[in-house]
Amino acid sequence: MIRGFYRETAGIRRPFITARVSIPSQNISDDVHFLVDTGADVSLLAPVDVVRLCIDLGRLPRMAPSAGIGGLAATASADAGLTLDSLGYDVRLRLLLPERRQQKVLSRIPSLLGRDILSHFALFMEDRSRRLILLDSDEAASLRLP
Amino acid sequence: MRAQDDRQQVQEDLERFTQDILYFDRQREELLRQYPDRWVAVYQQRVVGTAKALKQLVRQLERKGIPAGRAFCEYLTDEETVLIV
Repeated sequence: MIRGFYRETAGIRRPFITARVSIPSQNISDDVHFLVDTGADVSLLAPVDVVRLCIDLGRLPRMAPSAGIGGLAATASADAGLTLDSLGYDVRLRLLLPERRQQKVLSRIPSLLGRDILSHFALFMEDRSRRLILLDSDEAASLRLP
Repeated sequence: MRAQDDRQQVQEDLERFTQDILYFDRQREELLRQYPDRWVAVYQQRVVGTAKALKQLVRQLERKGIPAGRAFCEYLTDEETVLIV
């Protein structure tokens, strides 16, 4: 069982989970908090974390732009490991590129934990009790759900 | 044994990182009063740096020997944004 947490700002609650992000090709192994986003096909590292982790974008391949509510955004990719609690997953992590003209907006976008990771779990989230829990398959199977 | 130690260390680091975020959220109003429209870094439940730009803050942390990738950094502003992601 992996526990996440809620952050609340001005009455808006958002569900987060922390994970260790490793990018072996750049000798990076650091901590990131991800917004749980069941609508995202893949996990995404936000510009703030790209800068904070000192990722060298010049050494990473560019990917086709990603589509979101705001339109298309430039992305790169990196072979990465994500560790949640004691469970590790290898992913091709997308990185949203920091662009100077969008700094103010991009600074507010959090990294996203998408279905490439969430699909390994059953997700339980309840705003009322502020519980955010990821259950592995055995834990989920033990629940008597229809 | 080594792998188990490493896993234990990662779990402890992630718990510390989570506590830093929760500390920031608890102190947010006070921090916003002190550091409006600035980036703030929290590490081990202490404010360890502030700057106008994130890259400046990262350099500041490096000078202090604090790993930026293990510190929680966020921009403090009273402008609220509704996220639709």
